[in-house]
Amino acid sequence: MGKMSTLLRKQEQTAWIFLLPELLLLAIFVILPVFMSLQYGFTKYDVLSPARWIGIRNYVKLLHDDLFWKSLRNTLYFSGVTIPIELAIGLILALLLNTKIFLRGFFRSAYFLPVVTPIIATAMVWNFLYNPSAGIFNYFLSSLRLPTQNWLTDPKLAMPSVMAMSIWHEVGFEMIVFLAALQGIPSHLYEAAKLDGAGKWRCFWYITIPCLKPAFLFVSVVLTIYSFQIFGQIYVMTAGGPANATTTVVYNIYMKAFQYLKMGYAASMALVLFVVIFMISFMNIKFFGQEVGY
Amino acid sequence: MKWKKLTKHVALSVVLCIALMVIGGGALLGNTKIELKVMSVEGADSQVVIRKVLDEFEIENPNINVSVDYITWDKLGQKMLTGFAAGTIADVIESGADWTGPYARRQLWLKLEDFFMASEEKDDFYLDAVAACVYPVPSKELKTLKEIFTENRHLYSIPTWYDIRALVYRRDIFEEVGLDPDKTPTNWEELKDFAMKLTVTDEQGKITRAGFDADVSRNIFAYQRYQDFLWQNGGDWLNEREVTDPKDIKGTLDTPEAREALQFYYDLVYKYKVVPTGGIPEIIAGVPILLGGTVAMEIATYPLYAIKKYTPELLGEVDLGLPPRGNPEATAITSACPNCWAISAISKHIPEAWKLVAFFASSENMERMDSVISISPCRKSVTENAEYMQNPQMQMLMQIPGMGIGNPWPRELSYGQLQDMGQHIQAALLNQISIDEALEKCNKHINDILAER
Repeated sequence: MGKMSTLLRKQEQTAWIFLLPELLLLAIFVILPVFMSLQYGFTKYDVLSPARWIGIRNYVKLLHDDLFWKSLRNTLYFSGVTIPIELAIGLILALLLNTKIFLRGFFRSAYFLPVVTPIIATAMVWNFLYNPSAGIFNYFLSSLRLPTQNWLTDPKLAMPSVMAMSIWHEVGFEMIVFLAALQGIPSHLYEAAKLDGAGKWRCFWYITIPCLKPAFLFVSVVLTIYSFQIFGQIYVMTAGGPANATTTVVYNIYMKAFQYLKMGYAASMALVLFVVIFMISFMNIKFFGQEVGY
Repeated sequence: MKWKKLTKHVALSVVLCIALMVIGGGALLGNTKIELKVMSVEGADSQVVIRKVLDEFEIENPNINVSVDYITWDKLGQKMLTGFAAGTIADVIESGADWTGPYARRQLWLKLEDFFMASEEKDDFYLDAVAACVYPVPSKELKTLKEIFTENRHLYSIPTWYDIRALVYRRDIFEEVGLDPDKTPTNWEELKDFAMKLTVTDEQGKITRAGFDADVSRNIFAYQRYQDFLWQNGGDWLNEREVTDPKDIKGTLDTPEAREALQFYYDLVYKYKVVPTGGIPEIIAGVPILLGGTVAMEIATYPLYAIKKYTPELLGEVDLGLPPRGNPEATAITSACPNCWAISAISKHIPEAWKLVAFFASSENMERMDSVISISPCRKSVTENAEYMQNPQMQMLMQIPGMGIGNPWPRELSYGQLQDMGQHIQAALLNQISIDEALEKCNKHINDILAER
């Protein structure tokens, strides 16, 4: 027993030595900036001169900032639509690719490829696809004698166009997570259900879905955090336009911080965003986090 | 034993690292050359020439090494901000004169009028180009350098090339629709008539050639196009060139001139239908739309470089005229804003940095660098002597600053803040809000920005 505890202590020490550099980097480049940002939210700070304490004035200003509320609505709109669609499509793809089909490996790679493509490159390509005169989408519409659309310059279509591109880019990630989870469901559950006369739909609804709850939890939390921080595709495709129709909170933060030199105000917006993401993630955990047992 | 081996390896790595640091540090200490850093926004073609100019500078100044960091315009703001914040900003910065305000207010760009006034070549620079690099903004009534430079007003950069805009049009397209190619519209009524005649639509009513570039598809186009109409009508974003005390500066979009300008822009799109709302298509990505033939007229700089590079057959077909006036009394009716070289106020090598800026701004080197992209220079000698400037259209363009009808971009508003105005302008042009509401929001925005200073 004594030898065992000495060995475990030595292993723990080795583990800490290897973890220490990374923890140090995390502390300096992630944790410390978060606390500094929290502090800057209560200051008037333009990066180029010292920060000046102004209390809660930034937060009071936020309450009356129409653009901030519009950007929050746009962000909620984006997340509210893309998250359920990505979950649904990701699950459907995972279910299809969990069966023995021809070229299954190829399809798994093909659906995952957009996930590993840099978002800026993807956004630039989709800019061309959405081009009103030379883009392929309008080409298909005009060849079907349907009216062509101003995908990124019509205020009603701009955000749905960005959503479509984002869903295409990210759905492979959900697919992979669900696929891994599906393959982890014990087969004896399905066998037992079939013996009891359960059909495919019942098996799916009463076995597959509950067993996928941990995967749903993980994917929905990650998607929530990601979708609320959408920036790259907005920056490249629409620059927040037309007429602020696609200005999201993070894009607004970027503009205030780097174009208006209002780092303090931007930090206050970032804190509000953090609170919103935290609350929604917390609700997700409550909803999906219930234990499943058979 | 394993533990001892691990400790030995870690100790050896640490000793090696320290040894490398000592050697490297020794090498650095042994280097007595001054290292100057330059930040430039020039494109690939210009970068080759800049390197040649710098090589010659280094030969003339063997104790100075110059390195260049090339960035794009959209990164300029971030690079300057983070560079100054971290203390790693380049010694010499290429920028637009319209970026002067934020950095002059914070005394981060060096005051250069003492250097400049000591130079024998100062009178060779166009006065308007120099005035555009001064902050606070000098009144347009001031006519000499001595009047412009006061104890409160300083020169913060040296102009390098001049973005002057005129009415650029296609003579062949004018002839095609029966218009006299030697006659351009002089007022808005004529502009509207010309544009309608030049517009082409297909069987479905879709505009395939815009008569005039009144693009509304992006907010950056919206604010730039609106700015053109605003100035043509005698209006402005704010009164920075009218007042002497910076505290008296305010937004001026609550004037009839400002409203008429936006209404005219709106009418060009919806009433006269001379431009598609979805944006003017590019025939080939990167080739200006005028050269692609998808627009017949636009307010732009003369695209000599693009013509030579992409469509040399159009050399005689692209012409220019003065922008039309909405208000016959309007004076500064178009953009004339220089690019400039600034020196960081936190540079540790200010005399050397000035040497480099003066070298860049010499007549010979300005001609070499500006000729690459065939852009208007900021020196009269280059206008007179440079081969590319003998082009008749380029000569005509250079008359604009001399006529007093060129306007530098606002220095009290940053590029990003103007982009935000563009969102409101665009909202009105896309029927999201009314014209009055858009201008009210813009004007309030401007006054809020000024009040926070």
